[in-house]
Amino acid sequence: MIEVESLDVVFGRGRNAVHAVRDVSFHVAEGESFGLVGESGSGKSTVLRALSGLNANWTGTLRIADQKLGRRRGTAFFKRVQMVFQDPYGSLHPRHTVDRILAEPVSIHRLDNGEARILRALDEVGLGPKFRFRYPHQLSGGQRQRVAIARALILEPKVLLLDEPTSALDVSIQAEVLNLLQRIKRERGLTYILVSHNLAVVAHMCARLAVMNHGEVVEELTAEALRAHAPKQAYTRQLLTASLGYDRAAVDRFEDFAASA
Amino acid sequence: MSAAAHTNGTPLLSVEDLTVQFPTRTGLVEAVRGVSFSLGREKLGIVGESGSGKSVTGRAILGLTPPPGQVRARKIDFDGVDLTRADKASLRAIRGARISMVMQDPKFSLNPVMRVGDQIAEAYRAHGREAGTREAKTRAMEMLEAVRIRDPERVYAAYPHEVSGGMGQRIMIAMMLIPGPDLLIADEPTSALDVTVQMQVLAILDDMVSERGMGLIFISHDLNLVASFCDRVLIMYGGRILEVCEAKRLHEARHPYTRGLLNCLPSIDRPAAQLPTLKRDPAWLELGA
Amino acid sequence: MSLRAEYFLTDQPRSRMQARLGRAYRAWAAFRENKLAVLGLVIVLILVTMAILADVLAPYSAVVGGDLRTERLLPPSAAHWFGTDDQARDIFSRIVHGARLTLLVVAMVAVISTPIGLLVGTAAGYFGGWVDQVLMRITDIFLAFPRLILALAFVAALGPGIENAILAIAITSWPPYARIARAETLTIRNSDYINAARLQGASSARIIWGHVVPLCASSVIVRVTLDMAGIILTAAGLGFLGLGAQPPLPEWGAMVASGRRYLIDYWWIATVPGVAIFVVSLGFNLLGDGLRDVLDPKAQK
Repeated sequence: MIEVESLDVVFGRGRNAVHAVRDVSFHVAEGESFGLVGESGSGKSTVLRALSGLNANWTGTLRIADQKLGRRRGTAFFKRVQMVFQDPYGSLHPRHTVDRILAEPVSIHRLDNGEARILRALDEVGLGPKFRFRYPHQLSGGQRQRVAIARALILEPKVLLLDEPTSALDVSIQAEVLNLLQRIKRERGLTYILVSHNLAVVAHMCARLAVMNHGEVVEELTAEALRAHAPKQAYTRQLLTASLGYDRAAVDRFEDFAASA
Repeated sequence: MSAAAHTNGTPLLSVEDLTVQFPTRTGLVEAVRGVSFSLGREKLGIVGESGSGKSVTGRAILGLTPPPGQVRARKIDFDGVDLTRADKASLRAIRGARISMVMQDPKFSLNPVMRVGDQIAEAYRAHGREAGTREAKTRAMEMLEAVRIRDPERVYAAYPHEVSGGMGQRIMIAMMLIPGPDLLIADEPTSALDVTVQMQVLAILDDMVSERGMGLIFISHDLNLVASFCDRVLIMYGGRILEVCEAKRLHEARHPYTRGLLNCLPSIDRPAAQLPTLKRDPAWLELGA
Repeated sequence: MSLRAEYFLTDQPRSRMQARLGRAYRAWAAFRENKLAVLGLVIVLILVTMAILADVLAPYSAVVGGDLRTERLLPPSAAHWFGTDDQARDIFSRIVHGARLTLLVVAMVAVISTPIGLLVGTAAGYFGGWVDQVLMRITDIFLAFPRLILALAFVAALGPGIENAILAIAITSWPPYARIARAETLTIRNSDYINAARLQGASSARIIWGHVVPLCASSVIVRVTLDMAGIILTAAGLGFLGLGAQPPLPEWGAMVASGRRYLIDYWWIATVPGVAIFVVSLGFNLLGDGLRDVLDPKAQK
């Protein structure tokens, strides 16, 4: 369903050039949940932005449903691929009501039955019609994220790009939102790419994942292999150890994995 | 298990019936209600979600509650001094010199227009140590080495925006520990850091606290982290302490909120098809629950 | 809570209108607490009322004087509250009719300059690149001239008269609004909600109009209100120099100018319109300050 081949993203020019993504390749089958894990600066969010079209200076090949993607994205793309952003406080316009936020995609694409679609979207994410005319500052973090998910779903995409969707949420709310995402995926047969720095979240949501560091894919492995504590690369092992909790002795063995030249 | 410390006799800090209220347009909001605990020379974790009152508690101990907040407590005893009844001069003498605080984001707690080393040296001189510039600089360099910064000379001369997040936190720790306090309050000190850097910063904190025999209050939303790092854990919800337990025995916790919180965490080792969610019982907000 | 308050303050509004009214009500409640701001609003409302009801409120004609032998230069009295001027015209009536002119100037300038400033600023901030450069250099050119001088030049070229004065002031007023709008646009240009709109296929025009402008609007409105005082003074200045409203129109600035000669012995002729200018400018300033406190999103928690 999704194919990324030799993706390269460079910011800036000349001496100030930052090679944010280097030669990244991976495939995601239809209906799969694929995880991209890495620490900050690993390039995982940049990959997502290149895929979504928000960032236009990438090189390589990107394919969705066997169609090559160009620099710009068209209507067909937006109806097929949508994104949920990290910060629930930043992804909703502060002066728009929930209704306006959900009505916008309907209006842009001139879909019919706008009213019914909005109500159905709110229902699907577990918010009732009573939230319809609230402003974002009248919603909690979890509720805002649900609205963001509803907005992504209203165009009925087949692919959802999730950029750290629960990083800014409390743990108990995170569980609810993750469950919601899984239910929606099941009901609609969606394909997910989930970006996160939290290994536990990725292991829970995804069957396969790629670990990134300094713009490169260090290793691709299955969640099972992760759970069996059997990653092949030292960096992945170190990440796994750190994710399991504080272990004083283990910290002494940590290394610095610098970018390869 | 009681919230009182089990150390050799007198606790370092003893908080009794702390309440913090904020008047708002719609009435009085109680951020912290009736919180009591004590702390010896150990690592105490305070865990809670947002709105639980954990940060407000930490700041109230130091007298850093922003106005119009009102702090009331029966007693906040720090090594014999009641912080609620002390005068401003004594509070200033204690704050920074004997109780220090490390906050979440070094970007916001370091002065952006001053070199990092100078800030550490200033912290040294500000807390009652009559020291010349050269001595302060030497001590600052020593602290930078103590927090395992590899080239202290270069970092000393750097500005806050030139160092990474992890290094910024080490610098904060150096700055807060250079006056040699007895108690350190750390409010989400590693939440903004990557997980491997988090572990490294925590190791430094761990070492410094044990070497100097300090007490540490570690405030965080990360239950697993606190359980693996601290000696004892306080769970806060709605401004109150719901449960106290030894970190090692957290999985034996009895309060439904704690159990709920533990269960709804995704775990690498224990796969779950669906994460159990937390059903909030309004009774938890009642006093005496 | 009263029924009305419940309608506005509910956190489950049932329609778009209710949500908007609720937000307006909350803003009003916050505004109301600032006594000085309310004073400013009252002054502005008095100005508006005077302008609308000028024909009813003015006891005498504003342009036709009385008996030139007996009614010139009379001091304030019961018959003439503010006295009469050298043409035997009742000053109070002139002030009241002058309010209409002042309001006209202020409203027209705001209506002309605000959209220009918003459009230029948001376009420059959103598109960046050469669009930004070109628009900002044009803005710089207009900003380089002191407002009164540029207004003078325009009026000198176009000829004296109140319409030309309005045009001249409007042309020189928009650059600061463009700057403000551009600064606001730059801060929000890469926000996730803008990205989300892009990802839905929204065109740039839709994003600028529906997403960017609502966020810039409050800063620009505050700036416009604070500018009103300056606009009134510029119009008065032009009137004073004889380049704005032409006699016998009762424009306050022109009244101050014509009363200058009589300042020592007949102080009311110049002083009263001067005080009127001062009070109205103050009113707009207080109103603008109050609006900023209410509309500034950082203060809106």
